[in-house]
Amino acid sequence: MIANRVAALGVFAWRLEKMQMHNSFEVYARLYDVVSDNLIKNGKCSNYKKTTFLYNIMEHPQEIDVSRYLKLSNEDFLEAIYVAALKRLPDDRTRGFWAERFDLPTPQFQQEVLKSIADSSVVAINGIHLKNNPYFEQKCGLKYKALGRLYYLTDKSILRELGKKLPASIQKIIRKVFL
Amino acid sequence: MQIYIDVSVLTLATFVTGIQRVTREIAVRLIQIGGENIILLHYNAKENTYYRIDNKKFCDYYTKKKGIKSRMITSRRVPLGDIGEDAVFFDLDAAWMGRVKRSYLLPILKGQGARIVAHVYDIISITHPQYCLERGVYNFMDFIGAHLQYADDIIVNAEVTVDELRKLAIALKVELPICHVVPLGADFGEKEVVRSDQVPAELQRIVDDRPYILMVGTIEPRKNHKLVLDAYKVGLKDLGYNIIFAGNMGWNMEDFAIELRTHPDYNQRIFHLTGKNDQEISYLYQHARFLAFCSYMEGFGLPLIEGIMRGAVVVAADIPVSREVAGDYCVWFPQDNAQALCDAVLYYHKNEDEYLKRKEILKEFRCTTWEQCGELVRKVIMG
Repeated sequence: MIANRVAALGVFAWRLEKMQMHNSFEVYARLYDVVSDNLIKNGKCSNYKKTTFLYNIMEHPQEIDVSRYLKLSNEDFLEAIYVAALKRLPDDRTRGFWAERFDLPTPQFQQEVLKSIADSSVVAINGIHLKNNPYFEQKCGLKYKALGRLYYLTDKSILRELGKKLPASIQKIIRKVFL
Repeated sequence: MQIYIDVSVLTLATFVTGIQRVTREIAVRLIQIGGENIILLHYNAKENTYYRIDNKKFCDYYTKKKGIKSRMITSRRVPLGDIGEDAVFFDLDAAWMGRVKRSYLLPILKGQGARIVAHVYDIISITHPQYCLERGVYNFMDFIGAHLQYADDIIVNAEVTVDELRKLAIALKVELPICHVVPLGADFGEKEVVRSDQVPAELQRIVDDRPYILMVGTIEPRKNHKLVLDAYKVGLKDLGYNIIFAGNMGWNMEDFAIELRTHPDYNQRIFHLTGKNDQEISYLYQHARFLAFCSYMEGFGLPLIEGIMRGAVVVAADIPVSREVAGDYCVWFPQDNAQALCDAVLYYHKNEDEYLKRKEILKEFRCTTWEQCGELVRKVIMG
C-alpha cells in the first residue's frame, strides 16, 4: 500500500517535471527563433543549430546524459554532444573530419564520436562524465585522473593572469587544451 | 534570510572590467550592509560543488588589494540543498559565462522554495546578436530564458531594458517577473583628482601631447569605435585632436584592429591603451577634451556617467538608454554619423565660452553612488 503510494507520488512528480520541461522547451524554442530572426535581419545566421540549443537546455554541468542525444541524426548528434561536453562548437577541421563519416550507421558514428570526446583532455581535466552511454563505459584511468589534477591549474586566477601575458598563439593552444 | 550570490566568473576573471567591476562593487556593498547573511559562492567544476568565499578576504582583496585571490575561497562546501525556503539566490555576475547553466540550476532552486532575483544588465545578445560573440549569445539565451521563467524579480539599470524585456516576454509567451530599475553607481573615487606624478610618464606624455578625444571600454562591435576613426579622417585630425582608445581589444574586431594598427598616425596621434587601472583611467577622463560615446546599444553606459563625473564633455550617439541616464549632460549626435560627431566637436572647438559653460553644467550632475545602488539592490532582494 505504502509502496503503491510512493510509486504514484513518483509518477506524479515525474509528470509534473515533464510538464514543466515541456513548457520550458517551448519558451527556449521561441527564444532561439527570436535571436535567429534578429540575426537574419542583419544578414547573419547562427552557427549553433536549434536542436543543439534545445538538447543542451537543463544539461547538468558535469554529467552529460548521452541517452538524450541518441535519436538525433549523425550531423545533429555531433554538434549537440560536442557542445554539451566541450562547451564549444567543433572547429572547421573537426567538423570536416566527421562530415566524411556522416553516412556511417548511426550506432557506429555515435560510438566513434563519443570515444573521441571521452578521450579528450578537456573532458578529463574538467571531470566531465558521459552517463547512460550505451556503447562503452567511460574510462577513468590513470590518464583521466592525471589530467584531472590539471583542473586546479585552470581554477587558479593567478595562473590565468599569467596565461594572459603569454603570446596569443600559446594562449590559443592553452584554451583549446584546458578550457 | 541568507542571500546566495554566485561570483565564480568574477573570481576567475583576469581583468575586473564591465560586469565584473559592477559585481565587485555591489557584492562588497551587500556584504557591508548584510554581513554574514551574504554567502558568496565559487563553483568548482571538477567537484561539481559550490564553495563558500570568505567575505572579509573578498572585501580586502577587491577594495584594498590585500591578500591572494584564490585564498578567499574557503573549504566550506555549499550544497544546492542549502538554498531553499528563507533563502534568496541573487544572480549578480555574468553567470552565462560560467559552467552552471541557469536552465539546470534555477528549476532546482525554485523547487526548493528559494526566491530568485536576477540582475540583468542588458539583453543586447537577444535584441542585437550581430554585435555579440556567438558563444556568448548562445549561453545568454539559456540564462535569460531560465530567468524569465523562474526569477521572482529582475533588477535592471534602465527603463529601456524593462521595455526590451517586456517585448521579449510577450514574444516568448511568459509572464515578465517584476522588474526594478536600479541605476548603477559611478563614484569610483570621483573625489580624488589624480595628479600627473601618480601615473606613468608614458601616459603623461600621451595626455600632454595634444587635446584628445577619449573612448573608454572594451573594443567590441557595438561600441562603434570605428566611428571615431572615421571622424578623425573627416575632420578631427585637421582640428588638431588626438584619439585615445582605452580598453582591451575584444571579439570580432579583427578588421578594426588592422585598420587601427596600420593607420599612419597610430602611436603618433591615435593611441590604443590597454590594461590601465582605475587611477590611470581617471587621469585620462580628467584631461580629455571630449569623451566620445558612440555605442549602438547599451544596458547603462557606465563610461558615459564616469566621464561626466570627471568633467569630460561627452559627445554621445543619440540612443534611448544614453538619453535616459545622461539627459541634458551630453552633446548628442545622430548615431553612426561621423560628420555629425565631427561637427559637434567643431562647434565647441570654435566656441570656447560654450565649451566652458558645458563644463560648468557637468558640475551639477549627481550620480547614484555605489552605496545607494547597494541599498536599492538590497531592498529588492529582501522583497
